[in-house]
Amino acid sequence: MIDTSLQAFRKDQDGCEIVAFADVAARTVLAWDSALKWPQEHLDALCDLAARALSVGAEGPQTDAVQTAIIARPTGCHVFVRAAPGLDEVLCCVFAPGADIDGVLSGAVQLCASLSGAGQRERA
Amino acid sequence: MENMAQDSALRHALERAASYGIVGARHCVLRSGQDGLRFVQEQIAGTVLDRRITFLADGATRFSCDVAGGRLMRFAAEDGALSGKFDDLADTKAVAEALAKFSALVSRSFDGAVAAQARTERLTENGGVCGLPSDRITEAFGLSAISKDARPWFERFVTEAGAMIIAAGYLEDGVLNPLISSDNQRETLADCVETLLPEIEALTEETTSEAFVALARGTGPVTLVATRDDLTLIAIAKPEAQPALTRLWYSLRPN
Repeated sequence: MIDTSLQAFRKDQDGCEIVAFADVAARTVLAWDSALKWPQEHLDALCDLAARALSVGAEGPQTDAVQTAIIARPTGCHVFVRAAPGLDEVLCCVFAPGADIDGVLSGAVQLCASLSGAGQRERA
Repeated sequence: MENMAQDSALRHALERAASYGIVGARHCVLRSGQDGLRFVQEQIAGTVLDRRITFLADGATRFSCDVAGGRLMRFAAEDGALSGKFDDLADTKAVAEALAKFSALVSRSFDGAVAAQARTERLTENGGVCGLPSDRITEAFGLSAISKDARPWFERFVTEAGAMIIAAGYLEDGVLNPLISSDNQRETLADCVETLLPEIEALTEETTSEAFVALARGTGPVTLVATRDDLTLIAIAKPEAQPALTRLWYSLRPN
């Protein structure tokens, strides 16, 4: 079910090269979808980058954890979103440089929440 | 805390080592021919030690480049159809011919591909002498050189972002120079520099000299850091502005 959801999400987003569902506390990619086969070390690096981006300021006076991080580089745009505040489940996407990511964030949060079960917990 | 700083320093050292070509496999999504050309140019420019960079298109090996000091020594297509070297830059005719071949090889290799990858390995043989500087490759590929002076670019970014940006300043030689801010916001920017900047910069330390990071916490303002060469732009932006500012950053980049 997770694989199908990730695949459907990626196909809906123009220029999305990979979408991965990860647990940043465990630094583990739980499921992913891409047109290409990503080697494990690339998945690990993606998860590590997500963990570091979403923990910026975690040791400091900031009260809220980072919910959404975008890292845009000349070679691609990384988008990381948490399922919900305080949760470690994260959706990681890599887009082509300059891809239109306007509609991505809300959809990504929604998908991440449904995959992590946060949506069901909130409704319960 | 000390351990954390040591871990962070070690991580930086390892990342830096990777950018110097000790280890590495890099990746780029391709949307146009220019993306592939830019990717190759950046890999060459960012490799300091003697290394062979093998370029792949959609997972298939296409060509390799022997590089040192950010200069291209030799290149060869995987199928052996095309190769060249830059041993004598004084021979302008030979350089122009080799450069034209290299440009054609790169364009052909990434034609129709959706992803480029670069793998780096130590050179087992002498990589050659002299070599072509990466700015000559930039020129030959028809790419605009990224300005060393990032200040006008930052000012344009802030101007075009308009009301999306609440406060902004650039950091130069440890001094925060405000572009837009009130006294209160200046303090917020200074706090950001002090508490968050080292961690954010650690996210952007790669072979490329520029990056853009936008972080949002709940419904609060967005923290934005853009780096180019030695200059850093720090800004506080309105919530929900992340995608639009990212698009603006890409649109203002030179090709």
